[in-house]
Amino acid sequence: MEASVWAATWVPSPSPFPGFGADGYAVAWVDPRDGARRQVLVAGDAAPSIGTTGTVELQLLGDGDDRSEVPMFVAGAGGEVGR
Amino acid sequence: MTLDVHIGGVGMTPFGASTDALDDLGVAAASAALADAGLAYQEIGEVFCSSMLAPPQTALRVAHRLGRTGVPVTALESASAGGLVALRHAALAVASGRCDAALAIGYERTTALEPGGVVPRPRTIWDRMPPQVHYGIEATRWLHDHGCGPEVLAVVAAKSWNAAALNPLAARRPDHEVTPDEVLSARMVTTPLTRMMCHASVDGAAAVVVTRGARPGSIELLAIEQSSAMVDRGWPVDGPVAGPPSQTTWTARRAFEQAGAVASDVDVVSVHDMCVSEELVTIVALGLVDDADVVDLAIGGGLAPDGSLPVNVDGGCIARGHPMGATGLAQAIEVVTQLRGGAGARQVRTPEVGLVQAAGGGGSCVVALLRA
Repeated sequence: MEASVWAATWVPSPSPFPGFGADGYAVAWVDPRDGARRQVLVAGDAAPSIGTTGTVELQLLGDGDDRSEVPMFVAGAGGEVGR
Repeated sequence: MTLDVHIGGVGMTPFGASTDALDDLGVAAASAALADAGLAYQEIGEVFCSSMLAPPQTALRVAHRLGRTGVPVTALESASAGGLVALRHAALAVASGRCDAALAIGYERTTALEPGGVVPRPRTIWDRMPPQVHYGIEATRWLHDHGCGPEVLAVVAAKSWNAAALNPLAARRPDHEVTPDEVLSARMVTTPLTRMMCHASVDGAAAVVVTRGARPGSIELLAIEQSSAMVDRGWPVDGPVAGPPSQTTWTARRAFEQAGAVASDVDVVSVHDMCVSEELVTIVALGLVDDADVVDLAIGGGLAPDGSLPVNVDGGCIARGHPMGATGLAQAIEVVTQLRGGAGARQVRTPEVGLVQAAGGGGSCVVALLRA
């Protein structure tokens, strides 16, 4: 699903999500091409700038019983990033 | 048509880290409110208690320690808005004629959970996120839209910290004048919000006595309106997120209509400020300032006790502290204190009308208007 970043934040502490963002993580609100704004985790080690375009993919985080499917924003080629 | 009910008495404990049990905190605040109202507990017809983390039956234990009078005691939970939800129920109990006086009590321990207390288990992955995260997202966008940097947030946060220095019941009372640079240099919680821009999780209790008819020192409760979040396609509701600004606007319109008042009547304000950006977003959503003017108002000191629109002059959630179920009542107490002219060094100039707004995780919003 294609989407653009409405805004994002960088949390400089370990993520509560198993196997993701041990040194910090970004969360964004993104506007899909169709549909309402939604909250996503962001792949990578920085918060994307407002207007960055990319795709939202469902990814499995965690182990065993503590495993969840999470929407993950992946910036497209040339997408701006920055803390 | 107004409610014809008054706030006859208020009381609260110091906010901060406490080793007192919740029962003790609740009884202390309620006893202080009753004394302030000049009423005995036997004159209270209904009791409404607010907490988010309290063990089951805490409300009854608090009420029974105040007196076994047999009156209805109702416990409720509405996150950070719970205190004002309790106040609304107390006001409606009096306005409906069910009783002549009702008591709203809020209490919370957040620094160390009360034995038997309730810790919500995360339902989704988003429930594991710190509650400041969505405010960080919102603040990032707000700064972008207003063409400014985090300095404006730091100015507002410094205002709240310095106001709390004048509030003997505040949790964070700095021993020096806090500067915006100090706020900006604090540990980053979630960009662009530093620790000094975020709420203080504390323990404490607050209570308000609502009465029919005016009493010496009482403040009229003109209106108190409550809503749950409605659909807003621009506001995801994943995790412990409060409702959108559009909900605040909708709720405030109803309150102003009920009170027969307009935004320009308001002289002193207390809003929910889980993070400092929420203060700026909310005063615009309430219609108290135009979006185009809010940055200049904030930078120019307009939100300070001697400013043109004093907001959170008790320190707000940032520095007074945020014991969730008690917070809304503490906000109401500050506005009542201001309208009585009893706020001491942080007193606002001759206020006649005050506004209190609370927003809770899950999407509850309450707006109250009070008149001296």
